[in-house]
Amino acid sequence: MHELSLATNILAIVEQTAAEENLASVSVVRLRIGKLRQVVPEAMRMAFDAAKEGTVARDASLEMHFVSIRLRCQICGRVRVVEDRCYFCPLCAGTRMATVTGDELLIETLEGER
Amino acid sequence: MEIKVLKNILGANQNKADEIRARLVDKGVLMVNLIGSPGSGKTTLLEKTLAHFADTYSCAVIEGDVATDRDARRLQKFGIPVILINTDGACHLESISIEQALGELDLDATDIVFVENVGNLVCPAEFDIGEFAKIAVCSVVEGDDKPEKYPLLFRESKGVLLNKVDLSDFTDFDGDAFTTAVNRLNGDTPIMEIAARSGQGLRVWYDWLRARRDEVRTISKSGEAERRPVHR
Repeated sequence: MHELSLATNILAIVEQTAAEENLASVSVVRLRIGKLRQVVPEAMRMAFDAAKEGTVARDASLEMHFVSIRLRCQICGRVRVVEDRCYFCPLCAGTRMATVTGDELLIETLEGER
Repeated sequence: MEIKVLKNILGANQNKADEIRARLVDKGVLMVNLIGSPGSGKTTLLEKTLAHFADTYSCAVIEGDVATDRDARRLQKFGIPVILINTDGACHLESISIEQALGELDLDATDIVFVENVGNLVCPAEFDIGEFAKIAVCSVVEGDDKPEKYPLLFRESKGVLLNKVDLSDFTDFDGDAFTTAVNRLNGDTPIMEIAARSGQGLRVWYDWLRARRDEVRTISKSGEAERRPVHR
């Protein structure tokens, strides 16, 4: 449900970037989203479509690139990709795991015309 | 034409949160963000905690509620500042509204600020509000699968309060499964088993709060707050 907050923030950044780059229209907005961030793609798309009305990105499509969760064990240093909801280290069973990737929430690029 | 942006979508919220955290730590104020489902016992926990610390610390509460002032009214009997933020349907608090609420408090005369977030295990975990620590509040009646279903909250939490343990016999809650799931997500976070209504187990929570409050005071006195971010 926080997708609407995200969409509002996304469009604020898109509008600011479009102004800085003198874009008349934006056709694609590309996001990079870590899988830790609990973003539901359908909800994100719906929120984006609602929030883009009347902005420079009113005709833009949204592309979402999801990033796997990778954690580094603070004990043995091994990096593990989380695929099965297991967040601990398979080698030493350590549970002090630092996030390497998977918490991203970025606007990566956008496409537009001047 | 393609334009590289590479900006954090929640950058504005994050910057504000970092500012708030630095200011609070500088003043030696502990802010705790309580996150849990509706009915997990957050307000009852606050009632007990405020009563316990009434003579020790100057506390304040920021109460996030989708609608109504029911929770805020429950806390008014303690004669401390209770600031209500009605989110009007939004599922979480953001740092901008926390900043406004903090503006109504005399931070020089405050030791601990408790934020009761909107009842929800998903969205509040996403939004940094400048707290020193997030606390996950769960209860046995919700089931032992919550850590696996809501991993971000448990990875972000500095402590987990497992409430209503006095009702365990009436549920099929598996305490070992819950503990294992939390440990696998976050080996550093302590699990405190409590029954807020009866007061069972609350001593451990009070000790935890006292220790965090001392930690904030120590950082404040050493002037570290300005030199490095405390969190994240």
